[in-house]
Amino acid sequence: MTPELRALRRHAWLQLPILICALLLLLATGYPLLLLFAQSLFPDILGGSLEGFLDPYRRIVETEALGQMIRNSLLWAGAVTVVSWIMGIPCGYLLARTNLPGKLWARLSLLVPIMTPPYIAALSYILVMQHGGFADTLLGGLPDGLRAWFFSFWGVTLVMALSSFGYVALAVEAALSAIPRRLEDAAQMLGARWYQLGALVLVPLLLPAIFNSGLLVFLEAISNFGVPAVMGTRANLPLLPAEIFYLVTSWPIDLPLATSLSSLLCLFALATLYVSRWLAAKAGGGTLKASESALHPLGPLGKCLGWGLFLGLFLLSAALPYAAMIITSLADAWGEGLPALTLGHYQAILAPGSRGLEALTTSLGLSIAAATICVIIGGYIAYVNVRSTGPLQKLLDGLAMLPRVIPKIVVAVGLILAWNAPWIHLDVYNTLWMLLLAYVVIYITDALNYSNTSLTRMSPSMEHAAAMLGAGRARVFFSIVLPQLKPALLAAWVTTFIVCMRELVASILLLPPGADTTATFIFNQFEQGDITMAMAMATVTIVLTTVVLILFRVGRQEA
Amino acid sequence: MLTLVILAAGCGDARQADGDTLVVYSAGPRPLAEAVVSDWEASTGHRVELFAATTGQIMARLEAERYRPRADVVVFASALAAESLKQRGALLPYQPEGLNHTHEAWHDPDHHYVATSAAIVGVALRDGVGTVDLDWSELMSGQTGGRLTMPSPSRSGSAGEFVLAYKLHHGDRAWDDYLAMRRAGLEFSAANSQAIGGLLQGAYQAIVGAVDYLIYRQVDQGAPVRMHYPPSGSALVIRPVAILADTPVEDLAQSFVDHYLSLPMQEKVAAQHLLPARTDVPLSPARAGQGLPETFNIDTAEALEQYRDVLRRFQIQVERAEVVPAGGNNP
Repeated sequence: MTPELRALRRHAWLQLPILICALLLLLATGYPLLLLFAQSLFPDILGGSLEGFLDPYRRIVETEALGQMIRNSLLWAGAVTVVSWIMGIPCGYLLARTNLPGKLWARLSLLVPIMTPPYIAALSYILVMQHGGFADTLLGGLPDGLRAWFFSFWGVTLVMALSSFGYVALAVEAALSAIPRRLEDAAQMLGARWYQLGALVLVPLLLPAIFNSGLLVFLEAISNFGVPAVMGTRANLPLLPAEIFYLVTSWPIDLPLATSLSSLLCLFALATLYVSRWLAAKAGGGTLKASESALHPLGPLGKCLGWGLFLGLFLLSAALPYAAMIITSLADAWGEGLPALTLGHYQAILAPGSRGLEALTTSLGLSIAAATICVIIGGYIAYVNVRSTGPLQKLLDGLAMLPRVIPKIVVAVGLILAWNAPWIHLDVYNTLWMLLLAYVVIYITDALNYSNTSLTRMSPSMEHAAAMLGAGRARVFFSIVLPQLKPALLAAWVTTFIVCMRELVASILLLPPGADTTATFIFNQFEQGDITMAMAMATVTIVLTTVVLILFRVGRQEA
Repeated sequence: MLTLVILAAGCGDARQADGDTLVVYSAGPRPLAEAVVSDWEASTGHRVELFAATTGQIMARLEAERYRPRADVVVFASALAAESLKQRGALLPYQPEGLNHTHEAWHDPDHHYVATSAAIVGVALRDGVGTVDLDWSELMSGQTGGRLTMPSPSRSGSAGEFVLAYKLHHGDRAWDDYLAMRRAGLEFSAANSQAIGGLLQGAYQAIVGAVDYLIYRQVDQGAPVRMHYPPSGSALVIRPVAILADTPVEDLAQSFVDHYLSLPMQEKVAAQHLLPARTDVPLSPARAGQGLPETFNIDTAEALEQYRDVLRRFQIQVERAEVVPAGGNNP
């Protein structure tokens, strides 16, 4: 063997792990998305024909209702972002810059809506606002104008913004805490008024945080399926993800149109990402050194107003929907005023052999399996990624990023195509395996993120030392890297478990007929008019996942 | 991921190459589908893999499996679904035994699909509501009094076909009728079962767009309801069976179709209160008195062409529209 060949072999051997990781991600994420995009361009490409090039897109352009719907979706996501800014930025400012008492509670009040799945909040709001709902029962009739307003563009916007303004508040708080007060003080000393201070100093410094949190909210809104499907239909506001869902699941099926709308949705998400990154890079100049700084003292009126804001937002974003959810789940028979209470619905969904219990066990099994697989594979991929360089690493990085940005519904539609292609000889579609695969593909980014953060802080010197002492690749990974990664992976496991337990859109698209997860159970029961069962299941799911989260937090503090 | 794939390979049921198994996708009622399948298995000794679901779910699965077909025989609850597959060239023509004993007009003229049975979508009334000559216009304008419901056409295939057939029969006047019905306080139920539940409890006095065999099932059990066919016509919903063009077991598929049209199976069809395709099988006692009512004469190809547009327009302009109720604001 020539030395050159030996060097090449050695190089290939060194590159093997990253090659495997890249191939895995390509197969799991790249391939379905590529197929989806290809089918949207050539509707019959899977049949081996290139006919009808751009036909679905032509239909989108020609059909007035579709164009209107796309504009609506973009406008709606924009409106959700703006409303979230309006709610979230003052909260962030109060937390970072003032001596508002009880900040811990204020922060906690922001976390509750973030942790609530938006579709459950939307269902609860419908219970409050519909004809004969809580508002009617307790307030004795809601003005028709208010109800009409709620079941319209702005009502749907409000509900979505209420479940996402917390991101903005926390991001703004973090950014403000990192910005020293010197600039503000200097401006004040030079005689700047409060509005000049805000417009000329604070807002420009905060722009990156505002853009980044806005990006998160916009992406979440434009790709959210639950709120448009639950409330959008009642508000006569067709939005992209819900329409894609109907095109894929209800007869007459139109997969080409669904794939082209999915591609557009994907494009919007990617464009938003790049534009906001570009804007944030333009706006954010230089690094600032954080400094301990005096907090802005609030007068009694200021404190009252500050607490009023947090309390009001908490009432709307958490207390009201949760109250509606819990009371409905306990309601026996509705008469005048409040109903008699019963635990019957919980017994019904938890009885052995009932559909509810079946859904719960399916969800539990799938979530545990998905979280475990995500953590193992995600941890390894992150490790390989951090410790490698070169073009393959760039590809891996890009591939791993994809599911973070691409709407879940798009991934799900891509998976349907990918696993029904003529060259696939496995019957994965219409089995629970399909859903497990989808969960892993969609949520592996969480495991990657957590591991990445902790890996970049880890010095490779220990691994080098072990390798020099003769430890093989596997031994280095399992004995040195994994133990150090454990806390991050545990956090990733809990997060993945919780999001899988509540996952709606991939489940509803990919579940085999006859099977249910908790989320599809809630969705279907509500659609079938059995609201009490739906809300009992929602309560059980939220309590269960919250308990898991608390146990994990407590365990970590003790460790 | 690799382990996943391997596991999936282990559990997945790769298509049998021995030509011994027939894959059947069938729309409900499930007990009927299961009975016909197990009877065929017993008489031929072959195995059937049955996938029982709604027509919508079956179409979604067929669409997803378009380039990797698995089904050999499909039973739909709608001729439109079969027609769309026929137009795509996905069905094999076949003339089963006993065709001359059936309602010829129900089948595809080229026999790409043949009817196994049919149902009629009309009005279900509580006893004492309406008269024998109650017609659509009277019902839809709310003159019968009492509360009306309709299974949501986007959820219930039979209600969807009714909305379409009524529109094709009456032209654009249908939209005025639909809106009048909303103003008269019509509520939408999520599915047939919910509408029927409301009718039995007395929450509603009438179901517009009720599929008759489900109502006869209630009548048979002594519920105080009856099926009514307005004199100007009702919607006939054919339930066809078809053989998929890619089937590797064409002979088995044909034998299954023959079996579905045999006398004993058609008697099972009639026992579900459906209208059997064969004319020499007696109707179920509950429906025998009604005979075959007047039905809208609809061209299947034209109906298929308009299906999506009509349903979409119905959904946006009727079902979800804000309509001010005629009598007060209490729906």
